Amino acid sequence: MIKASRRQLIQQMGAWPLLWPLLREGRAEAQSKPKRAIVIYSPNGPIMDLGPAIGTETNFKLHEWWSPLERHRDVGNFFVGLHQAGVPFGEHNEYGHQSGGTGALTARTTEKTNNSTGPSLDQFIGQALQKANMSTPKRSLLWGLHNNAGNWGPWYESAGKPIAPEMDPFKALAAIAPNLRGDAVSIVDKKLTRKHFVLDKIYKDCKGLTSGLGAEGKALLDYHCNSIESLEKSVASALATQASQTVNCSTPAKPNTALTAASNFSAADNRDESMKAFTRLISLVFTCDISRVVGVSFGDTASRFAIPASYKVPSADKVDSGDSGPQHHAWTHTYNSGADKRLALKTFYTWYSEQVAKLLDELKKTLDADGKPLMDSTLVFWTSELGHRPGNNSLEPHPNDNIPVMLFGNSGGAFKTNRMFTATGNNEQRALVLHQMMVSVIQHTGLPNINEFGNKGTGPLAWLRG
Amino acid sequence: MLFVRLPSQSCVVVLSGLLLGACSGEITTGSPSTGNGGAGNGGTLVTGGTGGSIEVLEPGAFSTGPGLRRLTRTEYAYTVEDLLGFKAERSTLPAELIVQSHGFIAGAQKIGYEDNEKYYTVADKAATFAAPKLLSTLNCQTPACYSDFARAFLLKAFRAPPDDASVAIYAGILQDTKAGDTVSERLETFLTVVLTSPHFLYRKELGTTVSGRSRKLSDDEIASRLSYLVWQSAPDTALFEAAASNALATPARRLVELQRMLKDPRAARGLRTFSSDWMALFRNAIPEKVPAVLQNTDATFANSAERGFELLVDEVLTADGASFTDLLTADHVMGDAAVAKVLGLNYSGTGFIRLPLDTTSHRGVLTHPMVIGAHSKEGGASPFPIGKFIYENILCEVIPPPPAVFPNIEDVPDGLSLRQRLEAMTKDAPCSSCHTRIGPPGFAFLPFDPIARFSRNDASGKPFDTTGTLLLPDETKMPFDGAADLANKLAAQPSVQACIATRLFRFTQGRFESDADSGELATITDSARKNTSDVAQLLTALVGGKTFSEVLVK
Repeated sequence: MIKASRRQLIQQMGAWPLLWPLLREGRAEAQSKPKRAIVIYSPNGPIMDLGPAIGTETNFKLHEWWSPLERHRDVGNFFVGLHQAGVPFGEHNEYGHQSGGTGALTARTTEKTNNSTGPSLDQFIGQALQKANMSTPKRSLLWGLHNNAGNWGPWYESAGKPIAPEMDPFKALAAIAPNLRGDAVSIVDKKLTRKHFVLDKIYKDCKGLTSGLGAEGKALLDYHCNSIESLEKSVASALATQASQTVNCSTPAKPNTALTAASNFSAADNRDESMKAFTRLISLVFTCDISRVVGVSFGDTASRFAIPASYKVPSADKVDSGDSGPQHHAWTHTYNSGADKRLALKTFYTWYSEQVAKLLDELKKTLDADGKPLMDSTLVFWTSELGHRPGNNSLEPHPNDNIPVMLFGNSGGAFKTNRMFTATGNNEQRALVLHQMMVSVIQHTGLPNINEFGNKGTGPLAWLRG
Repeated sequence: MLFVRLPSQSCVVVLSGLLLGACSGEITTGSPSTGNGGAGNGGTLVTGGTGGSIEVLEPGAFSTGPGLRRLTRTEYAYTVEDLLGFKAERSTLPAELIVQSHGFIAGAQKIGYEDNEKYYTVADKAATFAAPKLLSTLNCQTPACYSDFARAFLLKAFRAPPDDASVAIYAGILQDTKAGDTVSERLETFLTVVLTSPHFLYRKELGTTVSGRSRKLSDDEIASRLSYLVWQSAPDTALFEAAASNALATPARRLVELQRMLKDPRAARGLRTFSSDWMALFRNAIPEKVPAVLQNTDATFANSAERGFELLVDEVLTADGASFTDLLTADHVMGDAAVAKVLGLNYSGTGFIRLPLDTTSHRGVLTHPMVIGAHSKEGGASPFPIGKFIYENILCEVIPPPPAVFPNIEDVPDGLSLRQRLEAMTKDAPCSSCHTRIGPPGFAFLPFDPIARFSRNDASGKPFDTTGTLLLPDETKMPFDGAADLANKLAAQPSVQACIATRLFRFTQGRFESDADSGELATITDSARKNTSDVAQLLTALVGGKTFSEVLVK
């Protein structure tokens, strides 16, 4: 095991450590405290119900479809009534999937073009960090459980340049393995380290005070010095204990999954295991500072996404899109509001929520190299391209409206959490909130001067701070 | 060292806290060091600030200066506030060990493991608060600049010019990446080190020139002694400059500084702190009372009482020609509606005002809820603890602790009042030696409940018997009728004025007096008697005296 500061953890930085003292203060500050972001996209929307929360700002409950996230209310902000950012503000029944899919994470007007005119949020952040000389070995990472090979997908490197998530956790691991230093690195709790530094200094101060003291004063001072030394030893011991709790930056033999490299990662039945693997990989790349931004995709818009059969999603009849079976997309096209449809959509959203909740579990329990939970420095943004249109459950609405959006994390204490935001106003006003939220996520990663994302220059969402 | 356990059998079953006064031993006058009596017929009573075990130390302890005086909670809080603008909550700081009703006896104030934790926590908060504000003044590009910053800051914080080695160490912290990745983080670390350093936590009174057992304090040490006496905080620039010019060894110059400092609003801090210590208000005991006592009080009452006490001290002692004994005789309190309600006064407005007292029953601080609350049990009458407090804190007598085992007390006839029962139970030796003294002044307070509510009659409807005779230290007898009359008469007693002067001497020196102080102390107490404890005159006698610039060592 190697003892190292967090700075030494930064992988493949070449001469970075040597150049450190020469860096401007602002950059050093940003480098010293990594801020991370996870961008999650789930396709096809809840359609039948308005979520994810019901109530008022501070007195609310989660809709039962999102109930697995109840255990993470403490770090969550739940948004109701948001309109898709970027798309033209009006009706989008016909092109809901297209305009929503390409605009959900890009916040740009792309209706009918099948292509975005700018990067998705994850790619934008990675590129901006690189420009600001805060890049990590991997500028950003994009992993997922299903994709339509870029067909109306939400992930874009740049205008007209869609990208597809890696679905194979084994390949994902192989891609980051060269950036893992191959050993375990001790956690450095900066607060405790500072306490130890202070106690060491004042112990020396104490020992240096004895000159001129009589026996009475020396006895008092000896007692004090000994008590400082005792506390210093206690803190040193705690540091040593923490140091044994390493951030393991060695390359795992395989991803955290029962699957094998030969498994079919497109198979619905493997998606629990795939997500489990990606969850652990996310904590690995964050703790070892291989990347500070990760995209997680549950599938592209209109994709034939399904979850393992064990969840017993009812099977939809063949619908106008040609889909059928236990697929999220097929159920969004059924012309009914029956119990089967409700059960299907509920099961999908409960499953998505459980996967996100497990990811949040991982972020809360995993310490980074500064000895703090990853959750303290990570924002998790989860959105979709479709939402809900009140009073129109029975047909085939594809509204880019009333989208369930959630933001987890308090950005190191900067954001208030455990709240519900209910958007009001016209479509444009309610879309503005989503624009602003995306800017807040960007700024959180160490880019405080970026006030624009997508096709609107909005500034951050002030509500998050107050 | 002996440890005396409070008895749990025998008469204590009946009397419990009523007997937390004394039951045996000789009563002595003066400090533990000069007295012959005390615990086990010889010793110093030491209790923790919030109760706990009773510790008995050897006679003569704490009558010399150890050379280091740990800042009290109040001093620490004010020093940090004046230095960084951060207001530390006193209750989060290490409590003082209370030595015979004195909270500032330097030789007893050890700093242990948990104390270091508390200091670190407060310092960390103060540093986090102050670093961003100080950062703009630390715009350094060169090592020399960091040294200049450290030197200037340490002068204020450590209350003396730092030597070059210290400057190098502290300037080094500001540049050491182990102290933080950024200048801001390193400044936080720097401040935390400063606020937890022994150089900050102790006022140094080492002295420089040996003259028998007396050592002459340096000018910096005199400056600190003066500023902590008057302001409870570090010297200001003018005082530092006076120290730098080696002027403070001269009494006349000290008195010039004293007059200047007394005009500063911070002078109220010293008067408040001394007064609280004089009344043994080491904590606000009101919230500890039983629900029956606190019934029909406002939720803010405890805090209101505390604030009212402070305002009363400010108002009384900062008046022109004020005497410390004016606190005993004040015909009013400072109170809000919550205080007025408990004291039965007619006021329901907002804020604190001067509330006239019924001077047939109430007078000054002795009948104040804070003082009665501090020396009463959680519920019921507490004549003996109050009587003991009056003897120890107002008359400077030493009351020894109760015996380890209480004597059996014969049955007391039925039909007696509470006072009659208590007198019957303590009339014989060994109880009588103390209880004949502390009983009468304590009985004067029988009409007061543990938060100073007054009622003239007891539960049976009969008027309380509050008459009595106080046996003064010179064995003369002082008859009185009720607490208000007792307070009035105590204020006029030379022995009370001498006691105030003695306590102020101890407050200044951080120790009890010794035989070597007798000449100086006589001068100060004479001044107190002649001037009826005039605040300005007493401080002048103290600050202008020879011992103010000296420390007495073993």
